Amino acid sequence: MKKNLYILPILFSILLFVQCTEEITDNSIIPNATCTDGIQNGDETGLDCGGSNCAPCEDAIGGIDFSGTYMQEDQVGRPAVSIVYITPGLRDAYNTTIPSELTANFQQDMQANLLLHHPAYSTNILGQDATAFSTLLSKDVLWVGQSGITTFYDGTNILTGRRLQDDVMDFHLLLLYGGADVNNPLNDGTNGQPLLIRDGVSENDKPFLANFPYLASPF
Amino acid sequence: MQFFAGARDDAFFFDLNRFNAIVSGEVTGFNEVGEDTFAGTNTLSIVVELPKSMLGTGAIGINPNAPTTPIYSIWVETKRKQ
Repeated sequence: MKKNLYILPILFSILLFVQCTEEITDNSIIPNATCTDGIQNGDETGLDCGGSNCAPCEDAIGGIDFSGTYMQEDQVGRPAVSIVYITPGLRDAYNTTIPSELTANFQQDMQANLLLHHPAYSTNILGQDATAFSTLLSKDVLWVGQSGITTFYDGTNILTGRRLQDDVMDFHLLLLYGGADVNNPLNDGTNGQPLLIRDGVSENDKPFLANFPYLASPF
Repeated sequence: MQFFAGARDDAFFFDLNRFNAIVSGEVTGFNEVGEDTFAGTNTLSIVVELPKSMLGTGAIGINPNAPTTPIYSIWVETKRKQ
């Protein structure tokens, strides 16, 4: 370790030196940035725009430069779908896929993980076998009814939206472990069964606000 | 429409640590009283409030559990500048 620490400053010195030398001798380096050279240089925030000398970039909003190309890195609709049902090594691919292509690419993986979590899975309260349930999960968008009651699940209405106070994970667990009969669910902790259909956390640690922005104040 | 951006209490509540212990085979089930893994944590949040009437109408998709009510399909994406 000591040897490496000693070598690093030397390497940096060499790199800095080489860079200085090139600027002086290499004619391809343009020493003075201009707003018409077709290169993002100087303190430009986009190509030939922004910074202290050039005109503002056209797509700068509120002083923030949004120019350039942005690539999808993460996506989510329903809570906790990917972390429960997608194989860890596939999650980056899942998160960079647009929803319309998710089912074709990930339904089979989700079905396999569903059966890994609950090998005896047969059907759920929605009447879905493993294929139907994993197909529903795989297109990871949140359904919101254009009218009517908004809830993830309130005992009657199913997947018509999501309120902050909805115990969304208990509904996920009920669909995964609870079997077909909501009045006689499996894995409810009785009769020697493991407790798997509820996690024992039914509300947030801080009350939500009655008015905008609804989320509780930070710690 | 209203917009908010800033730190808020993490609105998600779940005994994630216990779930992970179940998945890894360390324990067989949840506790009757669980522990919110996200209690006492904040998230950087964006909140947008708007009336549904601004979104227009039309059947974007079908919720088989409420097939007579047209739905919107909503998701969020995070993008990184290349």
